[in-house]
Amino acid sequence: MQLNLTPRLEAFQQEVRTFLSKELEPEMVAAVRSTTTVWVEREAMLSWQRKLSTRGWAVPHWPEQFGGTNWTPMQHYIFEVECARANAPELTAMGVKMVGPVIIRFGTDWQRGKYLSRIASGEDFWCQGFSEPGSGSDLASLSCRAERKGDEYIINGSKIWTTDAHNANLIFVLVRTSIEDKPQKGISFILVDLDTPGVSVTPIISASGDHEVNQVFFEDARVPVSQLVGEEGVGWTYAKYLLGFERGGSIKAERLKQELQRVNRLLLSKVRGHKDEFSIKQIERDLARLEILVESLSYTEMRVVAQLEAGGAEPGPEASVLKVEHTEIMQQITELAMMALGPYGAILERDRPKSGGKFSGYTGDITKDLLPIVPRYLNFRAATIYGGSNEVQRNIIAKTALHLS
Amino acid sequence: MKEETRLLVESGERFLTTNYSFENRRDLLKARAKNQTVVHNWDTFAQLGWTGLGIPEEQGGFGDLSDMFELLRVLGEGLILEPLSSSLIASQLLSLCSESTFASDTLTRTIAGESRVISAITESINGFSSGESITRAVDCEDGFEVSGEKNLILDGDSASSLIVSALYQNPDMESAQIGLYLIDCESDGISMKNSDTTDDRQLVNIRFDHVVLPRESLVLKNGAAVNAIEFEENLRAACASADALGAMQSLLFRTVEYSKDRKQFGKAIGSFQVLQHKMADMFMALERAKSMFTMMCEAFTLSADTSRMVSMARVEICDSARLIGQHAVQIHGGIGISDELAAAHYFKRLTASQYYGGDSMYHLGRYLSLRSSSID
Ligand SMILES: Cc1cc2nc3c(=O)[nH]c(=O)nc-3n(C[C@H](O)[C@H](O)[C@H](O)COP(=O)(O)OP(=O)(O)OC[C@H]3O[C@@H](n4cnc5c(N)ncnc54)[C@H](O)[C@@H]3O)c2cc1C
Repeated sequence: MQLNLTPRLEAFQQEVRTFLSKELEPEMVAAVRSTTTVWVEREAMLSWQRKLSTRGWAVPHWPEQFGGTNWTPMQHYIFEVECARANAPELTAMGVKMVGPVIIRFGTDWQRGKYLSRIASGEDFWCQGFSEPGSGSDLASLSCRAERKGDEYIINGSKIWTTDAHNANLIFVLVRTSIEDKPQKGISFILVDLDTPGVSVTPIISASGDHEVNQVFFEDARVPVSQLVGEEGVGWTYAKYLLGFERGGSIKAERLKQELQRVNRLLLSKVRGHKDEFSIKQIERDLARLEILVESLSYTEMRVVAQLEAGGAEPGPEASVLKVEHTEIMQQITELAMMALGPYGAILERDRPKSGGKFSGYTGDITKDLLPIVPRYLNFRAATIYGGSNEVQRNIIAKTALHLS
Repeated sequence: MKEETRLLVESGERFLTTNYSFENRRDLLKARAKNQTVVHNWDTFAQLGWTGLGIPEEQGGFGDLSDMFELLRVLGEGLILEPLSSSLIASQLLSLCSESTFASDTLTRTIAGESRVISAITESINGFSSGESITRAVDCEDGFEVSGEKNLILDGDSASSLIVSALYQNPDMESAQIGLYLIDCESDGISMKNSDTTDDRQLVNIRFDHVVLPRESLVLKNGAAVNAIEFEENLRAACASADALGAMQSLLFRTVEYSKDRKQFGKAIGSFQVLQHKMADMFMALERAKSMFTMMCEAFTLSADTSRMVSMARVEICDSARLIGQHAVQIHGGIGISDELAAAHYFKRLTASQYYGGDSMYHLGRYLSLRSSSID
């Protein structure tokens, strides 16, 4: 299947390329290359977001009236692919892809006015407070309580695995406002300022030594009722709408191709030792196999886009298919990169440069650029756990695509 | 199991119970974070006789190599941080140098826990293989002068002395000859650069810059040295495998327990069939690893074919370690990635230790070459 771009789309592609070659700075690319986690370093991401925002492309999937575009699915696809190919930082999803669309669709005018433009510009940094210690896959069992007293909700409980809570100033939370109904029914969706008295953030250090996730505690935190999104008790519906964006919301194959390039470079550097011809051949073979797998994902993405472009329904099980495929291919790539490292695969520097130069420690020096590989391998084990575990995604595929229940 | 081995296993288990809880270990990790070498339990090891394990009784040790691997397997269950396996490998080499009083004296002190010797054979161009040495020894007035660099030596930071392979040549010789040199780490001209490992140990690059040694430092040469180097490579693979097997056993047990405790959707997650099958796969991988461990122990009792068999075992054990580590994290969910809990530490050990003593791919290649040469 070829993209077969119309002249109009070709012109659009050219426009995106020109923008990228003019605005994307080498330090931002370096930050993408040297990151050990899903998202790039905050400052690099925000600098890029400001450039996108100025051009009007920070939130292209939002309606035009809120600063978005009226691009067709094919234009969105082209934009994402070109950004990935240029190694531009991905904007953290929690604002632009999660809470933004929810506020647009279900929020009040006051909430739209207060938050949307600040999400697009990057002035506000959001995090997602869904999971709790006792409620992960079974999110509907959540127990963080919000009790209404007059014009306020009083929140008690905690959220866990909250990515970037230490970088954020706002959190959107699912809380229980009623315990009478069936679990899904008593849940509400509330926007909370992290500066609110009674809210505190405690770091959780990952196996890699990186600080990516946190636990967020609420002790009698008072939040005005105006922070409630939509109706009380309907939060579950909004969360499901949001998770549709989290799971299928982006194009990944092109990013994976960049990741494969990293393995390729490593292999050429012969860090496994000059004499280990057997392993080098073997890794080459595995690399070729993964290239084919990534290509298949790329075509799956294109088929989904073509279906949308033709006015087809929003993807259902396809979102789960894309999530499972991309995370599992990513894990295979990070694993192969470790193999390519050979004896260096055991090294995890405790004091590795997390930032240096303008944004990062990326130097183009192969021995230094090996540094992110091991932490990436460790951190990306989480990719099949977060965003709905891959077991849960397979349950969804079995149920919705195959009607097995 | 022999009575002697059974007692040894019990002493290992007792040590872990009394000295190596997750909290005890966390204190050791704090020391490690300050770049201290973790040898806090070394006196205990010496008192228990573990520092002489696998060394013949007439040299002051006890037990055989199988006993040594068995103890390392048990200690692997507790993810010990001390450089016991590296020290035992070097002692095996010292034990081979029976004609050198310098080596025997050092071995005696090592068994007593007064010194620690680490073998430093691998170099960067060779990757995992012991291969050839670029490190050189030449004659000088007082003995030898050694120059070169050894790459990624596990636990090198803990050494008081090193056993180093180097090529020796003088003008009368047609070709260079390999020898093993016993070198005091305090000698002038030695510099070390440490790298932290994923499982909180150290890999050390050691440079030798015109290091002057007395004559007695050459402790093994020619054919005997060549054989010793191959033996050392096999020992490193075997010790890393024994340790990994212990870690795998413990991690599978912990994962099964966790899956019975953790409830989602009103049920223990261990009741979901997909997780049951994952744990069944882990169980089978563990069985394969145990079988290959048995084979590996046997391999060291044979006069030939040891390398081929060790490589076979290493491939299977590395692959099992990877599978068990990855599945365990997945089944734990978010908890599996937190450094505050044990599962992540087992995963990290099983990840890192694949790269000690040669990984699965290297040993597959090594097996392939040994296998084809054994077919006539
Ligand atoms: C790095 C990272 C970042 C995260 N970021 C965020 C964030 O920003 N905000 C947020 O709210 N959450 C976040 N999470 C939490 C994430 O969404 C949860 O970890 C995930 O939903 C799984 O929940 P759990 O960890 O409680 O595992 P559990 O739900 O306890 O799952 C444990 C195991 O059981 C399996 N399992 C569970 N139910 C079933 C079933 N029905 N059938 C088969 N298998 C099942 C799972 O697949 C998993 O293997 C993050 C997690 C990680 C690891």
